[in-house]
Amino acid sequence: MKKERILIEGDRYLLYYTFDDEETEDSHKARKPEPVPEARPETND
Amino acid sequence: MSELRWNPVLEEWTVTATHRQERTFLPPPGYCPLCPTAPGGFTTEVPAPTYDIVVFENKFPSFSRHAGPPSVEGNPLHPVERSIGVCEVVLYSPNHKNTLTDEPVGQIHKLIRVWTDRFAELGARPEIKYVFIFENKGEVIGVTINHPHGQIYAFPYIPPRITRELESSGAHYRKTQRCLFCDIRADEQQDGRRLVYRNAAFTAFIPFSARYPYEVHIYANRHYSALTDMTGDEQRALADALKVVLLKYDHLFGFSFPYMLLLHQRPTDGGLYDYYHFHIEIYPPMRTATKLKYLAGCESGAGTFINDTLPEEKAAELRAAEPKT
Repeated sequence: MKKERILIEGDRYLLYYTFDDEETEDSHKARKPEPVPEARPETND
Repeated sequence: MSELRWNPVLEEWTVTATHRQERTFLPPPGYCPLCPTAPGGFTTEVPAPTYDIVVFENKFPSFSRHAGPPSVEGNPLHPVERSIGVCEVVLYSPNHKNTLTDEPVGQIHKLIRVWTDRFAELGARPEIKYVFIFENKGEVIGVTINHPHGQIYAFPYIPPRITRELESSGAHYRKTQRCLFCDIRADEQQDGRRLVYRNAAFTAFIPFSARYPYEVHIYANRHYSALTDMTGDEQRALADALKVVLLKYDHLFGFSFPYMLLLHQRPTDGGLYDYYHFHIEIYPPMRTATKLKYLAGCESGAGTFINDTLPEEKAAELRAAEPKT
């Protein structure tokens, strides 16, 4: 895991995290689809 | 303007953060400040065409590295302090429509590694006494930007809820020489009625005295007190446990279920808290698919929660929900 630090506004920072090692089983570019629920609008009474 | 005002009756700090009234509120499609910046498009908080996981300092922080002097003078009865600290936003994914539940286990594992890094870095700052990692999901919780993200509040003090857990677990340890949370996990495992999911490193259950319907706690099976104590296998197991529990919520209710997800770890004030135990607590704000659980008079005014459900019954519902466990 690597992180790159930049400044985005004054000295407010932003960190980009990247994962080019094999610690995690799948990269962002090669995501495997997993079952997800169908979205339905939230309703309350 | 942000400051700490002491409540002498409850003996706790209130954070006033008036600038947060101006924060982004449910921006229209195409103007999400947490999406990557598209070439030639609206400039977001992330000046890049894509990203994996991003952390940035909150534009509207409750605690700030540069907190100015308080707006009023305090006195012995009403102390006031600068609201020194750090507030960060953690972006889980560049995909605006995703939720943490939608993310693959591998992406959740990456997030846990980022959480671990933030805990270590922020906790090392001398002014930071507690690193609180959490996610509010859903507009009913008060989320103002619908993009998969969580937050980190690096506190200049140990917050009262954690203080209470430290006091109870410390007293239990002094009395029994055992960890209170390990005893609870063992009891829940032996009883079984409130279990929701278990893998090699984590146990998820609805607590015996749950305050919210469908409240789930995820305890580490091994005794340790912070993310930085976890092995790689335990990080992966936590990603698996989170994925399963969050999927169960969505499948049981049939929609993307709102929640508060809270990581409870040891303080970072230099004290010894070996008796404390890493765990995650998830509070859903809904008691049915269409009814909210309000924190009304008794909860807010008396401090006693009224739970309209039996934890044993709600745990059975969650066990039966896909993925079945």
